[in-house]
Amino acid sequence: MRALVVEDEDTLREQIVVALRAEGFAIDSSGDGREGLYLACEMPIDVAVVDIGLPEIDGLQLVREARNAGVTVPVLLLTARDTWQDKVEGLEAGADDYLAKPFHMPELLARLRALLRRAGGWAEPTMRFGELEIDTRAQSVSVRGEAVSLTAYEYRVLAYLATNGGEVISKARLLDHLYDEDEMRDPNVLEVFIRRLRQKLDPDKTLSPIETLRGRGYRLALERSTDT
Amino acid sequence: MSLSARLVAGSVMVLAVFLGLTGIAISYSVHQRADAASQDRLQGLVFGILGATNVSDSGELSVSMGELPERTLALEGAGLYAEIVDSDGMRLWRSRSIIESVPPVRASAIGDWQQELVKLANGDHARRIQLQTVWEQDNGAELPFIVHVVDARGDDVRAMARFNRSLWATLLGVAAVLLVLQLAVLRAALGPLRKLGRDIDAMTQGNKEVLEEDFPKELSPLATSVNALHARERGRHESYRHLLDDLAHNLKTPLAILHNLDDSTVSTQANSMQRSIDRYLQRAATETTTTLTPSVLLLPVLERVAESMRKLHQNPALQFEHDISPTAALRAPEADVYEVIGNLYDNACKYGAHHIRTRLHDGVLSIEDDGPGFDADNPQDLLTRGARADAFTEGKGIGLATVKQFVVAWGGEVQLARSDLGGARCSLTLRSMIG
Repeated sequence: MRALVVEDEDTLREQIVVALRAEGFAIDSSGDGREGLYLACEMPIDVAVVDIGLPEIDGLQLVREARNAGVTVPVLLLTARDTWQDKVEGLEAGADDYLAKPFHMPELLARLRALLRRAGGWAEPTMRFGELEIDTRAQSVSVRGEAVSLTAYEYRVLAYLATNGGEVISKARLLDHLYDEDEMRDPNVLEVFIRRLRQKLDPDKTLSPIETLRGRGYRLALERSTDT
Repeated sequence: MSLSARLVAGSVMVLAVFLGLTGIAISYSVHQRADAASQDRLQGLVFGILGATNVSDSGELSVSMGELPERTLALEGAGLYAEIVDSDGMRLWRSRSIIESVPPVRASAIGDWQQELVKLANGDHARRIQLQTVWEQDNGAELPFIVHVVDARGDDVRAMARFNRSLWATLLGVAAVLLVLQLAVLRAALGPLRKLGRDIDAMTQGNKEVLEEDFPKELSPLATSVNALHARERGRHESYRHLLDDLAHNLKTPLAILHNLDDSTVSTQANSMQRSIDRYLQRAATETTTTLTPSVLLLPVLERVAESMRKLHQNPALQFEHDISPTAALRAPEADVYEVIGNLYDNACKYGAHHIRTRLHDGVLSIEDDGPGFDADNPQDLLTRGARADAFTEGKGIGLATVKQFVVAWGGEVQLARSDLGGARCSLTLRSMIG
């Protein structure tokens, strides 16, 4: 998943970026509203964390303009002014949730996970595809009730495919959503992750969880089994 | 005493004094002229009697009745009486129109006119005029005598009484007309003052934000000053709020950084600082409610908060029912109204309600839901458990404590009970605040 963090306080922004990277997010970040708006419109982000009090243009304006520009990703507003009037204005501007400062990082991460889940149409923290279960809180995966040990990158690939369940995801899009700009983005490495994922999830080749559509990308081929 | 009553009392007093003095002056003047005219008439009568008088050589005095100037002197009981007496008071002649018990005349100097009011036997008053004179006979002898005429007809007195009655009735009528005109003028003149009073009432009730300044020039500076004072007071209030908000904003970002450092001591202290900031911000918000607060329409606030709840809680089954007039307004700061409604709706949604019903009836705003309701046997305890917000535990209590703080600051009260929808009912009694 790729997250945008727009916060003008450098230390706090860095704390959020570090915590999100540790959670497996690729990150775009900015300290001012105008650059944040540019990143929101131009980068393939999946979720955004936006502070309300920003230089250049404030967070509300950023969200409003991004929505007008067709950006539909979930937005979490950070606000020090946590009155209900501010919250209502933030939600009407296009935000999906708010978090009042000061906050604990685990709460921020939980809110982002919930937003991503809801954006994918999942009400519960666990995504189920037949015998495959992905617990987004614990970042754990199990097949037929048996835990499957995945690396952070493998989990990210699987979680992204699951969140967009049924949709064909191109290699370029997967790379965009999994890696930071400055990281090595080798499609061959991605193929390796996919191969390893298939081996771990389907060692006896009876499940076929990930389908390759030649020239187009990958798709989670399992039927979603939990209604929202 | 009201300004109108003072002005009316003053006007009535001035009018009464003016018309009273005018009446007295006119009456006195007319009386004087009537007296003079009566005297002239009686003097003419005396001269007429003297003209009809003749004294013979033997000294006997006679009056030719046919030559008398006033025919009524020949009629009995006509009320006009004339008599001629000698210097000893012996009657020499009298008219036929007898009047009983006329007091005797008093001798005076020759040629003197005397005029007086005499009292008759029947108690009536009559006007008498007398002249002391001397008849010089051809033989040179002199006959001194007194001619006096008594007019008991009362024509003058009756005429004056009629005049006086007519005069005072006219003056009373004039007074009534002037009083009505005066009241009309006062009403018109005090109209702008009454409008100013109504406008200030509307401001204090939150139905008007500023006074119109189209008052007469005497009141216009007052309206301008009231508006300036109001604007300054509101501006100062807003400014304090913004300063507090900015202070909180500037403190909360560093606190967020401290929170997320791997140091439990720093994190504990940061938590403590955060609670203090929240508590004092809350107090500042509830304790700085101004008197001249404009009203906030309730329905738009309810609908906006409801829409936010649908988004926040992502619950498609969430149903909000607003049984409230679109014109119902609450006289309280808008941000505080959002805080109260936001906390109550958020509580209901957090605790699993699907149907939230808000009604305004007889000044009581009740918010009910179909959630699990209150755990406590006596839900009212949730509000009485400690008077300070920080005495409440995180969760439902803190939201209710915030609601209670605001509602009490507005002069209302909060009642918690079970709703017939199956969940909680929170009733806010806001009679004095509903516009």
